[in-house]
Parts: sequence; structure tokens; C-alpha cells
Amino acid sequence: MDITTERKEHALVIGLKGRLDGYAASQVTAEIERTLRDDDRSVVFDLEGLTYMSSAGIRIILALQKKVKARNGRIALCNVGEYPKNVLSMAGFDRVFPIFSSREEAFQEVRKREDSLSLIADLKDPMVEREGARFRFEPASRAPASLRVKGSLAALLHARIREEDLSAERFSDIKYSLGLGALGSGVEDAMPFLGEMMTIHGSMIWLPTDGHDTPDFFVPAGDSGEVRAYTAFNLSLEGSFNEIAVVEATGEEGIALDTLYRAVFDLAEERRKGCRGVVATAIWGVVAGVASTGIKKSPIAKDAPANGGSILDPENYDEWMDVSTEMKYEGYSIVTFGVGVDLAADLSGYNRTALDAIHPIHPGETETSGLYLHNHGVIFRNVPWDPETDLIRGIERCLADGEFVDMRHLLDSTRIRRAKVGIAYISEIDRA
Amino acid sequence: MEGLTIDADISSLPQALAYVTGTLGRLGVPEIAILELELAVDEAVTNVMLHGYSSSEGRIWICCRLDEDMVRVRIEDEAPPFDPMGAPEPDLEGDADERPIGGLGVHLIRKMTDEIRYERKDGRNILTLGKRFETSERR
Repeated sequence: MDITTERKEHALVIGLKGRLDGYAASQVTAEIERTLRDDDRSVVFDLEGLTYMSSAGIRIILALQKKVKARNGRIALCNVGEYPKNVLSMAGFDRVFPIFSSREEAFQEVRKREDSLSLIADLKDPMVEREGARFRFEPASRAPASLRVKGSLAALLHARIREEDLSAERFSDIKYSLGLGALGSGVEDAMPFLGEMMTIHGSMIWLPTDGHDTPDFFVPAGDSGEVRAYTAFNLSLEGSFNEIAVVEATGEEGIALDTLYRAVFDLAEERRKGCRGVVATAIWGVVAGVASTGIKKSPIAKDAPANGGSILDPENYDEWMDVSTEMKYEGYSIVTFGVGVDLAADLSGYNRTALDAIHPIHPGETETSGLYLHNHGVIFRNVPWDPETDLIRGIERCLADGEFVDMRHLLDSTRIRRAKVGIAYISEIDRA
Repeated sequence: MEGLTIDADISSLPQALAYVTGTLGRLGVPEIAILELELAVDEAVTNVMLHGYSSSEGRIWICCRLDEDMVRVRIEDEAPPFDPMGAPEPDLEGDADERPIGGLGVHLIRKMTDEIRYERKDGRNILTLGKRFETSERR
């Protein structure tokens, strides 16, 4: 069995050559599982050179057809030889699967839907192209949004966290937040395992610093009060998003997170959105690649670096941080929450100590992008991307139906292919 | 019993099919009949491997025989009793969304063969698939 996959004109082309028996079917299924991105919805099966096929082949095609139909997509078959054609017709599936004689016709079929969708969307709101992506903005809440910050990032980064810095959060009340925390029955319980976390729609996703590098996904079953989240640093959104941006990268490689934030700031200024230099965002999207870090050890005072420096200092970095600059999770779904600070903006309107608490100045560090970003993301698999689904329902779908894969502190080089981005233009930052 | 014994693991399927087509070819069975029987055996054996045994620990025995009227392939296994011909015919009409995928293999077996016999004997499922054919010598 010879299996090839390629992407052409927004369609996934799966080429199957040789013999597709029950055994080969298991290999094809694994290859499709590996290749299919959460935003794929146009699939062409090119069966040129397929000389044998059993019902296992039909099952594969049918399973994928069901999957892309759920995303409002289509499949098409082309170059179907005599043997597979007979099997399809005996099973009655020649009338179920659209079969075309050439790849070109199959492409036309799967693109029909794609084209009609983008046409409808273009009529509704115009798109602007910026920095390798197209943006469309939909208005949301008019109420001003603010950030609430508890603790300070500097204390975290210098590993100065003490028991008295920890307090319990009823995170089921918090819609969007990120920070450092742990689940536990008490402060002593939580201290050794403080790790990066985010809360979203009442769920807590947390990377405990227990040495296993395995994130926890915790959905409280009712609020019994027995399990508490202890946080040492927490940044939460008060209020709602002012706009939703629909973002589509023009290329397969997606756009980097810092490019996305830069475009959000620039477009806010051009459209006079009253952005004062700090935004909070929540993203539901599909990534081209995730670059990330994770804190390896609980940054508590008794374990502080001996040289008194930050855990991000070069000499301390490897001991404290797990870094993955290599792009991972191509085509997976992501839900993020984070903040961005435009360092070129006049930030004097914000409470200075509150701003410092979320954006500590690292000596010797230069921000080449002119931005300071702090984003955490949860990665999911097998959540159908559908541009007609709104941000909130998309996030809820990930939490409810997605296969939970990972939770990471995102590097600014993380690349997004398409996304719905909730943007809150932060009017003030308050200390808890 | 002469023939081939394989583990009930899906990776053994190509070996089983190669044995069947090779043997039938040596017995002088015409190409078209071999192709059709191959598909029927594929469906039957895959079914035993994936749904018959609960693990790949089991074994499957396959042998081919040329009789007066037809060629027969006998497939035996020790999985729990299962008569594939007792399965209902799949609904081949209607929309793909409502179409249950089960029974498709059995449907193809029926289409590809002229005779299907099932018996349960000595703790084994014994499925015999027969195909009539004409050869120039027999005419």
C-alpha cells in the first residue's frame, strides 16, 4: 500500500495506490489521523493505481466524509479504477461518494462550498489584509474591560513566592485568567507544585511542577469547595471582549503570535478603537505550530536561585525552564488567554505598580518586537474548525469535545493559521 | 487439516490473501473468480480478526479445495460462535449519514460467492465460501 498526502488549493489530497485490504486500512487510518488538521474540510481521494479494495476502504472514506461534513466540508473521489469502482457500486456507495474522472473536477467539487462560504462572509464585513493575514472585526461588548492582577510576575520570576502569597481562588467564577497556581487541600499542599495555569469558562488547566511534565485538566463537578486552586500570581479579565477578530493567515505557515498582536494594535489605532496600549485576548483557533515554555520547578523562596537572579537568567534558565522552540502540534486546535502590551504606546494612564506586576522589566532584555506578550494556551485535537461557529461556542466545544493534548506558556513565535480572537481593550489594571 | 494457519492479527491478512490467490491460481481457477473469492475471504477473515477474537492471541485456519462443481475456501476459527450470514442485509439506499456501516462486509461476501455455509463444530466456527466457475477443460 502506497499512501501519499499533500495539500493543494486548501484541499487535502490523499493518494492511495496498490492494495487496500483490511490490514492496509489500519495503516491508512493511522496516516489520516496523523495528517488531518482540525481545519481541514476539503478532502480529495485520488485512487489512481488502486488495484484492490475491501469494505475497509469504504469505511475509511465514509468516516472521513462524516468528519468533514460536520465541518461543513466535502470529500470527492477521482481516478477510481475498475476494481474499487465495482466494490463501491456493489456496496451502493457509488451513489454516496461524489466520484470524478479527474483531479481537477474533484477539486472543483470540494471548493464549491469553500468559495460560497467566503463570499457570504465578504459581503457581511469587509476584510483587511495585514502582515500575512486577513482580519475581519465584529463588534462585541461596549462596556470597558479591565484586568485584575494578583501577586507580581517579578516575584514569580525571582522565585520569591512564600506561603503568605498564596490564596484560594474560586476559579469557577473566573472566565478568563492565567497565572501560577496549584490544586490542593491547603497552602502547604500547593506550594511544591505551583505551575503555570489558566482558567477558562470554569475549567482549570494546569501544568503541575511535579516533574512529570503532564498537564491536568480540571473541570469542577459543582462547586463543593473541596478542591481549591491556590494561586500566587493571577491575571484575570474583568468584563468582556470589545471586539471579535476573525483571522485567517494567507499562507499555510500561519502568522506568529507577536505579528498577530502587532496587527491588532495597528488596526485598533487606524480604526480609532481607543486602545490605550494593553489588550487581553482569548483565541480559539488552529495552529501551524506551537513554540512554548513551561516552568519546571515551583518558584518558591526556599528554592530561589543562589545568585539572587531571575529564573530566566541564562545561568538559571535550563534548571527552571523547559523550552520547546521547535514547532509542535501542526493543525491542532488551541484555546489561549493572554495579554499584550504595546511598548511604543503611552502607558502612563495605567496604574504603574499594576502594570509592573504584569510586565516586569528584565535587565538587559530588549523587546525587538516592541511588544510584551504573556499568553497561555491549551492544545486540543479533533475539534472541527467551523468559521461559522462563534468564539465562545468554539471554546466550549474544545473544552467539552476536544481531546486534551497539552497546556503551555506560549512563545511569541507560536504560529496561528486561523482563529477567532476575542479582544478586550484594557481601560485599567487593578491590583487584587 | 492442510492449508494455512495464521495468528488472528490484522497484519497476517496479506499473507492469508496471498495464500488463497496463490493456491487458487495453481488449482487452475480463472482470474476473475480468484479476485472475487479474494475479496470474500478478506471480508470474512478481517471480521474474525477485528470482531471475533477479543485479542490477537487466537488462530485462523484456511484451506482451499477444488470440488466437482466449485472451488471452496474454508475458514475456521475458535472465536465465540458467530454466523456471519445471520447478519441482516445492510440498507444500501438512503443518505450516507444514516447508513449503518455494519453488515457491509457480509453483503460483499454474499455478492462475491455462490455458496456460503456456516457451522459450529468442536468449538470452531467453520465458514465455507464456494464459487462456481467454468474452465475450458470442463466444458
